[in-house]
Amino acid sequence: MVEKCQRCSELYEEILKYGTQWVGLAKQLRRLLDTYYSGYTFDDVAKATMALSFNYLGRETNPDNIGEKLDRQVDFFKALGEFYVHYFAHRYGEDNVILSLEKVLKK
Amino acid sequence: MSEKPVFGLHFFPMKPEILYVYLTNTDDPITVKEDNGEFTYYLNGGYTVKLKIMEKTDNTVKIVCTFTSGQQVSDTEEETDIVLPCNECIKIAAKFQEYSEEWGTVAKKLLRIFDSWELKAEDVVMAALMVSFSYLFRMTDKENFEDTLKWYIGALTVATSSYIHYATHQFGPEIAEIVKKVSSEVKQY
Repeated sequence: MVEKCQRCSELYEEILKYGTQWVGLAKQLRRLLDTYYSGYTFDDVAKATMALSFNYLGRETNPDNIGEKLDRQVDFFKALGEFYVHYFAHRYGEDNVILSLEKVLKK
Repeated sequence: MSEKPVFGLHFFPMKPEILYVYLTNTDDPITVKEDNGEFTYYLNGGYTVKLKIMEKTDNTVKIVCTFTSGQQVSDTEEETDIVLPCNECIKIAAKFQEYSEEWGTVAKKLLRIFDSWELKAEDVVMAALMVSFSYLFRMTDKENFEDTLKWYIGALTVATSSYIHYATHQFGPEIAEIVKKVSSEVKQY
């Protein structure tokens, strides 16, 4: 019997807190990158998509909503970041991941 | 303001088509967005500054600056070519390059594609960050988990600095308080 991880479900909900409209677009973007951008390294694509995200964040920002936009970006990043760490804790063992995480945060 | 203003120019690395000009030697810098290549500042002390953009490339701009004092416009009028990129922007752009060299090419291609579609900015922000994490997952294994995480947090810090710096140019120093509040929340996290 495979039990569902409660924390995974919570993090999944957190990621979708701001709606699901973007999910289809994310799938399209990933397909596009996997098909036409396979010549680039993973770190190039990870960085380029991050820059794309911030570029569009800049476009939807104005003096009245900058706090709200920053909060949302930080919230979303936190949820994705926690999911990333949690996923690898499942995969490599919690102790190993927490140890690495502590080292990174100390630095 | 009693002294002649000194100008700084801002180039946002991902948006070279947009130029912002600001004053560097005042306590309360003014930032004005370009309007058809020409704009005017009216400063305390009766100074007026007119700037006209003559030539602009991805990396440089040539501006004619007309500086006048009081009512006697012709007495102090002068023309100067200014090519002064913002130092902080240059530092941020250099930090971006530290983390990978080819990403800029990919980013520009993606921007062109996304700009040609009619998309809600909010959806692109979230979709792109999600895909970024998806590629981070792909490049992670047990041996490099620590290094990869460190790399990603570094890149994110630079991207956030760039966003905040850009917003400061665009909206002025009053956004600093908002940013400080969000930063303290991030630190707590």
